[in-house]
Order: sequence, then structure tokens, then C-alpha cells
Amino acid sequence: MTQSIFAGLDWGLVIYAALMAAVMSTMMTLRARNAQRAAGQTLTPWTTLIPDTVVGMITGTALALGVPDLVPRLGSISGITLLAGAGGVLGPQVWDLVVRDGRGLLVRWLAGLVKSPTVTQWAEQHTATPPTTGGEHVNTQVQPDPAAVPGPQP
Amino acid sequence: MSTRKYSQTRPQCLDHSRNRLARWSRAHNPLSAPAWTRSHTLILIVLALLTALMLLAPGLLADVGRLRVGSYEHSVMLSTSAVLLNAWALLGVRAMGPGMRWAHLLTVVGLTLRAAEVRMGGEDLILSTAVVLTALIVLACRTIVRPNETERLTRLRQGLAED
Repeated sequence: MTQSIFAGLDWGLVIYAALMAAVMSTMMTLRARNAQRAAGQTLTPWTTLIPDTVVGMITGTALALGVPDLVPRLGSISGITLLAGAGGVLGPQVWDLVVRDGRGLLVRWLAGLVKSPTVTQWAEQHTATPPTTGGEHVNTQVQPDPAAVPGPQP
Repeated sequence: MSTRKYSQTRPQCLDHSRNRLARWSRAHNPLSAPAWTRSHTLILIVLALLTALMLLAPGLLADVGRLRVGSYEHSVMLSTSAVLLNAWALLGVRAMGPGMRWAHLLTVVGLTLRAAEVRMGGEDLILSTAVVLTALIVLACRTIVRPNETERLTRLRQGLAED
């Protein structure tokens, strides 16, 4: 029987990563809701907690499993705990950034490698960053719903 | 539908900001401290008892503080949480005055030094450490959750300067 990669996994670490991700997501959502309430916008729903927690748990577990193989000095209890916690904290934020502007970041980075002004200009033109900074916690969809606009009935 | 809802919440939001303004002016009036409630009396009695115990029976209080509440792994996890949350408040949220910025920076530095010490000694989680770490975690959470008025004004002023 082959050795599973989850054989050396401490389930306490998985729970810890999920817990850190849940705490971070709760607080960032609360922060966004405070700001939105002050600005009179519609509030972020609490359901974003679930994907954030799952993403943080997966990122934290992956870091805690993968990195100590590459960097053996991080294999101590402190190192693994730090990796799991950092994965839980940073995972959802990085994922937010990738979902929002991942393609633009990649294209601009590749264009920067080429070091040609024409290519850089083209990349900047074709990857316009949306003017938000908060990921899915910032409500960008305040467009009027066409079905709600009262118009002449046919 | 969403448009209707949005416009209907406007007056309520105006109420919110008016209440906030009233609260702000009340807080900045030096003559009106918040009322003294029964919970304040309770806190005062508990703190006085603790101080008396610390002065009169330090051995007893030391034994209470040394109560083991978790293993070495729990100790590492709790202090790692405190370090990560304070670092996120310091670098990720960045919305704080200079005082809280120093507080978060010193927390991260001190807890990292302390973590090395805990690791060398393999110390278990004791009650006194757990209480202090919980307090530091609560402070970091407070900074992360709260978009405070000073911060909003600073950003507004920055935006005006850029325009």
C-alpha cells in the first residue's frame, strides 16, 4: 500500500488553519460592513465566510504539508504552526486578488520581463484594474436592476 | 428590486450618521463621562481583591497563574495567532494612529522573542500567558474590525490633496 501524503498530517493543524481563516474572514467582513453602513451601500452578505474558510483551510494545510519538505528547518512545531496560520490568514486575501485581477497581474508581470515599451503599453491598455481594493468584501454591484425600473408596460 | 431597497435604506443611514455625530460630541464633552454602572463596581472589587492577593499572598496567586491550561502545541498556536493577527493589523489593515501602530509593532516583536524562549524551554500553556495573549488578540481584532473616524478623515484629506 502506498504512503498517503496525508499520513503525517496533524488534524489539529487543519482545524487551526480553518479557525484562523474563519476569524480573519469574520473580521474583514465586519470591517467592510462597517464601512458600507457608513457609506449607505448595501452590505456584504455573511455567506462569504464559508468559501473564505474553506480556501484558508486548504491553503494553510497545503503550506504546512508542502513547505517543510522544501525547507527542512521549517519542520518544527513553531514552523508548521506559522505556515498553517499564515496560509489561513493570507489564503483568502491572495485568492481574492487573483480572482479580481489575476490575469492582469500575470500579463503585466510578463510584459515587464520583456522590457519593451510597446509591449508594456499594450499590457496596461488591455488589463484595466477595476477601481476596488477590497475584493469581494467591497460591493461593486450597485447597478440598477433593469427589471425593477418602472417603465411603460407593453 | 435592488434599486428600491437601496433608496429605502437612505433615511436610516442618515439617522445612523446623526446618532454617530451626537455620540461623538457627547464623548468629546469633558463634563460627561459614561455612567458608572454595576459592572464597574464589580470590576473594581475584583481588581482590588487581586491586588490585595498579589501583595499579601503572592505564592497563592503565583500558583493560580501557573495553572496549566494547554500543551506546548497550544502555547505555540495561541502565540502564533496573536503574532499573525497583530501583523495583519499592522501591514494589511494599516488603519490606526501612531500610538496603536507602535503597540502592534512592539507586540509582534515581543511575542516573537517570547516564542523563541517558549520553544527553547518547551513550556506548556499556563493561565497567565493565555490571558495576556487573549488580550493582545482582542486588541488586534479591534483594530482590524474598526474603520475609525480619524482614519476616514485622514483618507478624505489625502483624497482631497490628490485631486
